[in-house]
Amino acid sequence: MNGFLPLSRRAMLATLAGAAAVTILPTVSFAEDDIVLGLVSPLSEPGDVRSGEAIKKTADLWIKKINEAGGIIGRKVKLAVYDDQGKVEVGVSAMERAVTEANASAILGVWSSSVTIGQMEVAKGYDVPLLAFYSWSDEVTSKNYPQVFRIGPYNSQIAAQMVPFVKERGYKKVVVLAEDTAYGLGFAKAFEEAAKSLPEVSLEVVQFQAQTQDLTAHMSKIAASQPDAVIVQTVFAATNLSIKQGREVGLKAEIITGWDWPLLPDFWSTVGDAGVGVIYPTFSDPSMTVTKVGQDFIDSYKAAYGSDPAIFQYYLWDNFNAVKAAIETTKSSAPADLVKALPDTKFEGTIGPVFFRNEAGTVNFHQWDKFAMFFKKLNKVGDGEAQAELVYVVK
Amino acid sequence: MSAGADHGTKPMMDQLIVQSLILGLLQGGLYALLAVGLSLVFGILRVVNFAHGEFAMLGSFAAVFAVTSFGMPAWAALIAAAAAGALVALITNVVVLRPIYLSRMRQKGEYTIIATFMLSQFLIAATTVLFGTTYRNLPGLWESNLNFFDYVYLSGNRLVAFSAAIVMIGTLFWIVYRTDTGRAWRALTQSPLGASVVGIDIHKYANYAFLVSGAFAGLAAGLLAPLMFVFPSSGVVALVKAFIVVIIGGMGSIGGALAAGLLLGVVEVMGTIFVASGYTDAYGFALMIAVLLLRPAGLFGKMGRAI
Amino acid sequence: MSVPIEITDLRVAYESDVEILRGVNLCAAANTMTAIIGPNGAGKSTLLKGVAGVAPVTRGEVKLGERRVEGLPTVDLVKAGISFVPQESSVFGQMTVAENLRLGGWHRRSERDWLNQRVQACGALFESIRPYLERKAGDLSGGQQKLVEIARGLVGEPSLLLLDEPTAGLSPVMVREVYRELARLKERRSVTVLLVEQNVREALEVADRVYVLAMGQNDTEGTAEDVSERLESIVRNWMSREGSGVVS
Repeated sequence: MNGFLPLSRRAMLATLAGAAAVTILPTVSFAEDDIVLGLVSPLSEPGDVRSGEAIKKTADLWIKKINEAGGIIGRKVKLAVYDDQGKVEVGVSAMERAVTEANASAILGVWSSSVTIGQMEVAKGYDVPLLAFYSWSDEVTSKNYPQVFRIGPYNSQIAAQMVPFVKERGYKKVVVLAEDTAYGLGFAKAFEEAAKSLPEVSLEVVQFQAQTQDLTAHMSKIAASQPDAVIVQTVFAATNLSIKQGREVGLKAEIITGWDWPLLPDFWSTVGDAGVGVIYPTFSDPSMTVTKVGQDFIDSYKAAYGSDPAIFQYYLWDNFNAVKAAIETTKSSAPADLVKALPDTKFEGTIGPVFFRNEAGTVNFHQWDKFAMFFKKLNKVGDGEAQAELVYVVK
Repeated sequence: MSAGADHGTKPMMDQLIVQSLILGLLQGGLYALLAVGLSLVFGILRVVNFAHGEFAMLGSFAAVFAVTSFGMPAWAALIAAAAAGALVALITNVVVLRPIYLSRMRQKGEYTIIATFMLSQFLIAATTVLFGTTYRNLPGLWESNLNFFDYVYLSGNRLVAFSAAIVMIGTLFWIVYRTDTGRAWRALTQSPLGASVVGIDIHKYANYAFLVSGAFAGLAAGLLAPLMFVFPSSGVVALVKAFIVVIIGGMGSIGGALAAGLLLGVVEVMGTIFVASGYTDAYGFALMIAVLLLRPAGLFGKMGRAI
Repeated sequence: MSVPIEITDLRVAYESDVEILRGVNLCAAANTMTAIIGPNGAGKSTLLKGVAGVAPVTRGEVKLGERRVEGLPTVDLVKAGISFVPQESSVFGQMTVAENLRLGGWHRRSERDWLNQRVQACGALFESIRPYLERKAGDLSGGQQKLVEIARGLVGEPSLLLLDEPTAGLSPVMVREVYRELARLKERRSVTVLLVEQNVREALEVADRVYVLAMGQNDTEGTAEDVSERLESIVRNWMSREGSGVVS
């Protein structure tokens, strides 16, 4: 009974998810001639719905624009949308349905690393291209699956880009406060590795349980060791907690967040004064070079939705254009043909020319990595992206 | 560390020990405040209330809305938190639990666990739907970071929270040992049959117990909120801590809950700082397991039935 | 103070179709001690529980003096002057004997002077607990605990005291101790007592009148002397009706 229970529950979940997808999403009829692209994204809780909605908007806009321009190789393009609920098993079965039922030529829009890693097996099994853009785990490309591509950053690269920043700021003692997940510890490990090039910097990693609601003990320990900088590698809530409680227990070091969490709307209302002086890294800055393709995307997005796209939506736009380029090269929408063509595809991306590095055996396999990293500082309460001071750029 | 530095390793260590001890005690006071209500209700009704954390969570939301929507001052927000916690607890007792313990079914204890667990899930989901998962902040009574001789660092809010917790637990002690309501609670705890034959109205005093339990949970959350954040699932961790405290301190013992709360706070902070930082929650569980193995009735087992 | 009790055709059923008590009649004069005896399952305890409001009464009347009290909740029965000492232990073990007694006057707790005086009076009632008023009740012997419960039951000046097998589970020494004190209680003539007992001999010694129940109904009744004389035939009658008479 016990051995059979988890399996049945999993199957039940998958069935439920499938049933939900069937009932919620409008049934799209696909003409023989149409090119179908699968979009598998977190569209309901517990998935990251906020990001899922942004993904869906970007994809809808791209499809609309492409079809207005006459489609690809003279054929209309359609989107088959599936919800992964942020769950691995749901994402995997959704991708399978996209491939087998909707005959998708490629799968895009995948989000959470753990879901993406699960879906990679489906991509491999059916020989269908899977394009990631903001799944940061190194594993996505370091596994070297021929079907998997990424136009977007990854953990060890971000960690490596922190190193010149640490050197430039002249920090001698750095503490990494990392949550005990693949994300937090993965970054800590990668950063420790990258920081070996800076022998003058002493580095300590302080780990904490991701679900914690109190970091005063950790921050007291860090404060007592009097570091110059603390790099906080965790999600939004714990980042805010570490800033607020760090200042409470007398931490004087500069605080660098793991990502641009301070730009989220509830940052200042939760941390208050303690947020002043916080530095955050980002891939996006007004000083960033945007290509003609990129500017066109930004303008159309603004026109369609009334707001600016976030940087990850640029990468997703490039993902779609990569598939388009591959179809145009091969004059085919067969998944296997695209898998063969994609590694050598080159095209004009949103922030520069896009091409894949194809160094087998490394993380730089089917990986594009030409983006700049900006370090920005919040100098007063309420500062947002526009007011933040640009303190350093890593190209 | 260079020879000329202001702080050598030794004094730094001393500083950290004092800092962690104080932090631990302050944290522990709030754990105790969260736990006494749970303990009270268990002692009197033998109900293991899995929704206790959500009474706290709803209290903290009430406090946030009192401040942000009605512009009330911070102290009034605390009263709102206690009132909301008390109200939800009372409704829970009357609507969810009373039908169970009035019924003739067997294993009422198990049914109350299932019922309160489902209620807890429902309250989290309902709060998420109504208010979203946004993190909210509650201003405290003493919004400044204090520095005692460069030796101990604390926020004013933390001191306020601890002082209030101790005063409230003291008040509960007084209620339990010096008032008729307390006598009725103790009677119900020690012998429900005896309480019934001397004519104590169990429904009335069960309601009082839930009111106090919910008020304490709401107040604890209102005091904790300025130190942490307010969000729908915040009650889950609170419940876990409260359970550990109740088990360590002995089911139904207020003195035990206070001592166990302080102990848990100190062990967690000390363990995090001096043993390994990645196991904060594990120290509490380790302590609980040790107590269960060595003194199954809790550290204050003899007083266990005294609430 | 004390009021006679009159029970007419009292029926009790836990499940709607299974009557445990099938119409019992009983009458006791003020300040007398009435023993209720009978074989196992005769409904003796159920009769007391029905009167005390602990068991569901389906039909019949209980009159305390002129007042109908059947079906009232326990809280109101206590106020009406009915005090029930159940068979199971019901002392508050972590409280002192004095605190236990004080709770016996719960329904009149606002009358401080009266309550203090009652606690003192009832604390002095039984010799075997008198020296231990400040001890925790849970630390006393089983017999002493039962006496604490009886004393607690008297604090509120009830007009009717219901004693359900006060010596169940006690050693012979303790049984004698409890009955010595019950005999003294009877001498005071201050309360009407209904006593359910398995120890028939002891019960007959202290009782004024005796009711014998069998199979949830009245079997026979009489003065203690009368029933003592007929005891053998009564017990034989139980045996013949049930095949297994039980008298200890």
